[in-house]
Amino acid sequence: MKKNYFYNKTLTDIGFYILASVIKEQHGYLIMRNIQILTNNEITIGPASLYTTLKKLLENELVTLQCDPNSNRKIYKITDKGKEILNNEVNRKKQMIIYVEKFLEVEKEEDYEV
Amino acid sequence: MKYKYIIIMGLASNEEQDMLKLSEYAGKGWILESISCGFFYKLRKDVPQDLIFTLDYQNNITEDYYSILKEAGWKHVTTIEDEIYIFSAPSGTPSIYSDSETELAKYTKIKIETKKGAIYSFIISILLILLIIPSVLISKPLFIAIEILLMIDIIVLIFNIIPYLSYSNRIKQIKINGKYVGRNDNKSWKLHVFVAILCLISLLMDVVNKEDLSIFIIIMALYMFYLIFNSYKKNKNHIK
Repeated sequence: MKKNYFYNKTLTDIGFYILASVIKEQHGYLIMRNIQILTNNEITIGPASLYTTLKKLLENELVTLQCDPNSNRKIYKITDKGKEILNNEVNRKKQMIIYVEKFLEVEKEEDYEV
Repeated sequence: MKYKYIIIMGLASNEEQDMLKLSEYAGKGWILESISCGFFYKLRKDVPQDLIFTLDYQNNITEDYYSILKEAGWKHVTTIEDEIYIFSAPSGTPSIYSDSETELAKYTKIKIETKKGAIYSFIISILLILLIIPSVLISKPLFIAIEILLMIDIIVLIFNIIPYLSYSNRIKQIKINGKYVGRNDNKSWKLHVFVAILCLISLLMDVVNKEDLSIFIIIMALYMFYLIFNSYKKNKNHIK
């Protein structure tokens, strides 16, 4: 049985960024640039990392390939399954932050007491 | 057009050093054009360029592969057996892998392939060794034919085992450290010594039997000694 990389495990960081960037259909080579611009150059994705991840996302049917009628080039777009996974991941990450913030608050209060 | 050929030290076991060497040659005006006969880099004389090189493994690529790498500044140089891709880019271009998960994927597939190759050729070599014993009694041409097959098979075996060990070592390191730190020579030199001894035994047997020395085995033995000498040199530098 094929290992379902993105389903069993949570999305990898790079998978998360890429999946988010194809909510609107996108050319493969533009994904890198858009991620860089939207994250103020914080996140740079290597081209082979991008290609490998896109391939895995396609295999797991989280994105689909369409033909761009204007340029005959391939464009990637998120699927419903992909959206579901992305939303789950966003919620999971939000929840993680809430927990961590609680810990930080507790630490602050203790600081005041001292 | 002037060309120069330099030997490939090992795409699997020596990837970083080989790419660095290509970069040094490019700085002197010798630009990688293709791979020749599977053993040599073919370099073309050109103006000196400040280039870096990178190697990737991919199967069944789509056109997007080239366009995505091109967008990031990487120019396709050559492809070996529809599987190994070499790219060049101006010095300073960020590397083609940015995270350890995808870099791990790069080596995992090729590791499985070389493992399969090693197992199959090992089984074949056992069968051939079993066949070679009765064949001596039957006829001399049959014996020679099997001996040649065995020789070819052992070469295939070696060219699968050495890469397999390098890939496994890499994968292990990436899993532990998040990146590849360097070659672990402690294990590979033992293998080289083992192969060199096998070659010497084979040559010795040829001498005892008063047969012609096999050129394959001589080249292999010399290559193994070269590799052993290299790791010895590296170890010595390390201690210093």
